[in-house]
Amino acid sequence: MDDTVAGRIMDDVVIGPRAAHDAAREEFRGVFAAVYPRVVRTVYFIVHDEPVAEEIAQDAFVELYRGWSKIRNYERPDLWVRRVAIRKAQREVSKSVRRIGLERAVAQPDRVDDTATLPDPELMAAIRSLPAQQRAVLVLFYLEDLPMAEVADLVGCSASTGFVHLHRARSRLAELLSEEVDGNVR
Amino acid sequence: MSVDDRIREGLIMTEQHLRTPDTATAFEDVTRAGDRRTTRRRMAFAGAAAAAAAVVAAAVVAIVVALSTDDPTSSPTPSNPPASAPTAQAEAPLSPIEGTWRSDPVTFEAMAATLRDNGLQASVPALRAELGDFGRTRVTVTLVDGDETVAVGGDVASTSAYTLGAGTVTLDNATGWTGTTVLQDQMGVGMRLNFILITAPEGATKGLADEALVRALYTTATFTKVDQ
Repeated sequence: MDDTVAGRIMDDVVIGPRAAHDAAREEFRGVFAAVYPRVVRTVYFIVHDEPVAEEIAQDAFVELYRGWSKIRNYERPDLWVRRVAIRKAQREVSKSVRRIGLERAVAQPDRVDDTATLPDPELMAAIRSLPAQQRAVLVLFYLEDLPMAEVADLVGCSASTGFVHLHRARSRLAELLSEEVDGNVR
Repeated sequence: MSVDDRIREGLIMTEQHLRTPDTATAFEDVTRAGDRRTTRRRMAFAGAAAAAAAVVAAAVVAIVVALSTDDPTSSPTPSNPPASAPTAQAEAPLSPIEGTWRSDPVTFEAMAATLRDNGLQASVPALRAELGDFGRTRVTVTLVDGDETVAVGGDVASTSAYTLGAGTVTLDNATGWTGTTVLQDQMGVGMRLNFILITAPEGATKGLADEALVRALYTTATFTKVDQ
């Protein structure tokens, strides 16, 4: 066999897949850089803990990385990873609520309120009193200005259920913060 | 001030107050973790293939898939550990459980009946909204290279990652639930895949409870291997 041809064949076999792998990795890096900070922010406003938010966001991106060969062909890979992160965050809140409930059943620990240093600690504390889905709907709707159809898709409910969550969250916050609330979301 | 203005302003001010995440370090952590999981998964493939080959040689023909909660401690313990661990991870052969499985013909009404039988009748409308009232079709489960896909007709309904262990397959669904599959000896019934839900998963997919989706897709019919 011609050594040169054999060498080219070996290059095709060995270098071809690696080049494709590197290209996919660079593509993933671009999506990561563009989306990761926003995902961390969104998750933070659901779990209200920065290290936990980063951990959840990274878990979601690991899932994206593992499925990148398939998910990169989706129309919006960023929506996929945001959806995964938000669902993970919601589950984390549910687990935390159960965990705190168990801790309280045993003893009342000295809990540090780390919202005190934030610009509007009263608001943050009020949001923390909401169920996970309501928190998620609230941050996606008010902070990210997403239409309810997209909010609902990310949170995992129908648009009408999303509006119910939003209505209940607003009413609860208005009550806790002694603010005005009318029938129309603004 | 209206509550809407208070919420919006408060969220924006708080966002500006938060520290900026270290994206470069996070990227390295994520890719390293992803690569590590892939390596572990390949090693698991090799281990499971060795165990499964022995099982198939003894005419083991049925696979029971059990879905459990995300608590790893609640997963069934494999009863048949592999006789030998692989020493190399290069190009592990496919396990007999990997490949494409197709269900017997199934109707939407049969899936609805599955939900009703399990006290989930309230989820039937959400199931119809999610899958459509498809009449009669087949469900296809594909297990290839760590990615599990469930399709109804030609439409993908759910995807999970999976890992093979010694006589087990663990499904890890990105949107919430995880599950474990267990290989079982059932002589003379052909290569069939039966999914059994042991513990209800948590969470929801587009308003449809995960338990309802999982029961409808996996437990309404049994599956036959399409490719060998």
